[in-house]
Amino acid sequence: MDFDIDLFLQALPILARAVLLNLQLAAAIIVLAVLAATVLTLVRAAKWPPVSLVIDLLISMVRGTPLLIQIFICYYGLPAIGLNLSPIAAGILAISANSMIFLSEAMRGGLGGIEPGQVEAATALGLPSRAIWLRVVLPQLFTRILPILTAELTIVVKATALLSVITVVEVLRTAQQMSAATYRPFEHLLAAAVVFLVANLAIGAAGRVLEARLAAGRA
Amino acid sequence: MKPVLRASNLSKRFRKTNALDGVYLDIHPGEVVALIGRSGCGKSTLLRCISWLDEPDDGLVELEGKPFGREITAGGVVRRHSARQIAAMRPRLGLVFQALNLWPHLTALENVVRGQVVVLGRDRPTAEAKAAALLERLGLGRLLARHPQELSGGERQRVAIARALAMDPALLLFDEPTSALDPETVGEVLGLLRGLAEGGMTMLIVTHEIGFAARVADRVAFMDYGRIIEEGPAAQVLSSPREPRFAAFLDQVLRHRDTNGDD
Amino acid sequence: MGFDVGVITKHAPALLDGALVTIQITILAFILGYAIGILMAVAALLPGRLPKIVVAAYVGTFRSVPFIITLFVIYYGLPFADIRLPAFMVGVVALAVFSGAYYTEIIRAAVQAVPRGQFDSARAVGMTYPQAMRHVIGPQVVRSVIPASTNTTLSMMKESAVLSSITIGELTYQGLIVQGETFAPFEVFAAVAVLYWTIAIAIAAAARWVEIRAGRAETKAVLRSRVAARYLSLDWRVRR
Repeated sequence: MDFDIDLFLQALPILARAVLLNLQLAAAIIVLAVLAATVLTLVRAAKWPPVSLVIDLLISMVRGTPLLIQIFICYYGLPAIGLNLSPIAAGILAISANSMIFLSEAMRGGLGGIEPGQVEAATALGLPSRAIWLRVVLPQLFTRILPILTAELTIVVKATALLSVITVVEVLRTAQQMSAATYRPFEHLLAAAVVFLVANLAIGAAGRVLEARLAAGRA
Repeated sequence: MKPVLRASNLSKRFRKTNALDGVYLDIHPGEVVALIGRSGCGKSTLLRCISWLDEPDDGLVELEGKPFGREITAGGVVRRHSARQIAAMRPRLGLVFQALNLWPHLTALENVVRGQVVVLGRDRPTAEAKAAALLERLGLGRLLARHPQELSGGERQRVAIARALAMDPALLLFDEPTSALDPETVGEVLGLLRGLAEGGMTMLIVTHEIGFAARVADRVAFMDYGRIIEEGPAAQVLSSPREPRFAAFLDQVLRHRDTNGDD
Repeated sequence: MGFDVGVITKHAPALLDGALVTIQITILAFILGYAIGILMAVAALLPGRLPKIVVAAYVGTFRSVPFIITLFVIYYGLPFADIRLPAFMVGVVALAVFSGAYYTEIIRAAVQAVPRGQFDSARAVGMTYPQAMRHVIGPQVVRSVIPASTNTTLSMMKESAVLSSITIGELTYQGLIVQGETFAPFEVFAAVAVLYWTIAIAIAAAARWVEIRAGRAETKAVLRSRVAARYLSLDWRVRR
């Protein structure tokens, strides 16, 4: 057992800087995903049978296939039908689409928790459909799914590590490059693991603080 | 006549409060004892300690003359019983909880059968026959295959009673049997308990139904702050209480009852 | 540019082989992972602070680190402890350790969700601790554990695609090989996706079967208000 602790410690700051790319990607992805999921949920709420059927099929496929395959389809598959994307663009597309699906399902659950009486009252008062969405349903929905958003953010951060497979130079790829140069993969990969651990624990803690603030504000 | 249950000097402390403060209680065969008092006076704690669901800090319990939960050996040492010893004696003590605690994943029949088969080792046909008979006697003959979630409050109460009776207990303990029921069902359940009493069942009933206690109980014990303040024959104690706290309690309850007009 | 189905049919055997390996890995990792989950959940429920801290560290670590990194750390780390396993076993172990972290939380939460009174009434009737677990607590835990466990198992099956990075011949690995030979990435990955999807459906169906066997499945709640349903329900199949 000859673990090179110096190598491990030296790798940490380098990888900590590399993980910033992962975090930036994750931020962009989650914003896109939330917007797209909101739109998707509104479309599903309209309940047009042909559209909803296709959406349900897409949801089933996205939920039933690995994210890695979805990334491959975006990066290797799309050029075959004319859409050439850079590794980062393909990665953002794949992970955002994936996240959008899961968030829309989470929103569906969140909708179920809103009191029907509120919507009935709003309708009885004569509020137009758009106002009911914007002022009654969506605000409550977002408050309800905030914990799920935090969880989804950690999932997205972890997903960005997969982009190393399609040549994006984020933290895992950086660790692999450093391993190749020194022939010592374990120390570098362990350092990458630690970096993710810290990042996600921090996100989790921040999420809890945010939830507590929101709960206090509503009380 | 040897008491079915003898509780001596039971004490239990939660944090800084004395939930039970030296309680002595004897229950004789065929007796019905009503335990009354304000909420928080320790009635439920007493039942839990008697049945050793919670271990009292001090005191002894004897069930049919045998020590239960702990004993004092010949050398004067206090020895705790093992979980197995305690479990072995439990069937003799039928406990009907305030929350009933029926098993939701089993049918009404199976709720009454399971204990017999698993604990008493009865074979299935015998256990099922006995369970069915008990549930029929309690008016639930057509509901044997229903699950507790599908039954009304009064029906669930009766399944809980059947479950305890199926174990052939020497003593039945009831924790507020009517508190969660609506007024019509209260009357039915009280009638049921009265029937059991007239059948010779030994019972200890924690209740706030003073009228019921007056009509069905042989003895009444009043608890306050973890101790039994007054105890005696039902008719006597309820009509002429000696302890001022008990008198005040009865007064309060009767006044409240007059306002409600129920009995 | 047309969709060349011929590519798929010619290489179907290779892909199906890969699918079989994925299924084997999933089953093995599920068994091992659930065993870990039960052990850890029991530990978390023991009195005392130390077991709880250890379990929390295990759960927190493997839920915060991407599985691909966990896999690599185990793959390159085992030789340090002088353990040499074939890649297939490393993959199974890594998946089991990963999914175990999720199973632990699910089981622990389910046991703690059973009302305390259930345990009281089991004891009151004279059951010993093991009897109470087997007849009263266990069945209630099993019923509530199935949906979340199925979710985790599905996630684990999907993560198994990552095992292609350590040259395990599962479905994704086979897909990459076929794609390298045919230069038809769209067709190949579409076929791979369909195969994964089929496995996922099979897992969901198996879970529903277990759910029905373990007791009555929960019925879906119906939103009674038509007006509210316009906004709060996405069920487009239900007639209103």
